[in-house]
Amino acid sequence: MKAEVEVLFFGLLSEITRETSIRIWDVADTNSVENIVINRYPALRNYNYLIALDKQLINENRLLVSEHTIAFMPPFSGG
Amino acid sequence: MRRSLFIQGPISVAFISAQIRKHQFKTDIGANQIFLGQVRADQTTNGLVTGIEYTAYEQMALDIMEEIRASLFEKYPIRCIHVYHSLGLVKPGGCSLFIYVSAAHSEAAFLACQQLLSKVKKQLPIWGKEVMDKQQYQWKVNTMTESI
Repeated sequence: MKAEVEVLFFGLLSEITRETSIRIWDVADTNSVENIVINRYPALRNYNYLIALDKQLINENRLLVSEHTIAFMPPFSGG
Repeated sequence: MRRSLFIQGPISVAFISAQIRKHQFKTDIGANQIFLGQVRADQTTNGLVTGIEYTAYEQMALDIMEEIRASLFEKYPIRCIHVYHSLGLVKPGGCSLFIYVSAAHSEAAFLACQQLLSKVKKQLPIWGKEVMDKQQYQWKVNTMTESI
């Protein structure tokens, strides 16, 4: 089963994409989501970002099963 | 119950003093360690910083904060932990981060507060945009010592 994903962009990245969220359908894993996002917004290649799947940071590909939220986040700078 | 973490705009002195007053009713506390983060008017190559505008992935930040809280309670003999962070614009001199750690004794409160501050900066999905005079801005970068 292929998943439906809400993709969120934060901080500087939302200025690069000019979007705070987009929806992507029929994706099997997080690598596919990242490839689609990078193809749509090639300028993101020039920036460091972290990826969170359902509010948890991930460092490797994860399979997607149903509905998920995937966040693209610049390095944190709170405080 | 999930605790509150975010406050719109600067954190007021009245809010901070109310927190101090509340803890005076807890008579098993002997040490209150407080950290207040304040916005600086830095002179940068892009101009003078006239404020920091904070945004966050709020739901994720609340989840991570619960994990940080649990890890500190496991590590140190502390009584309570409170963290408040601003969202939106905070001007120089304004308080954007308020950390409050209480314990029976000072050492635990001090060490836990220092580690909590480091974790808040490194792990919470919060971003600061430094707003400049001349209508420019740059995104804040956190530089941290790795040892803590």
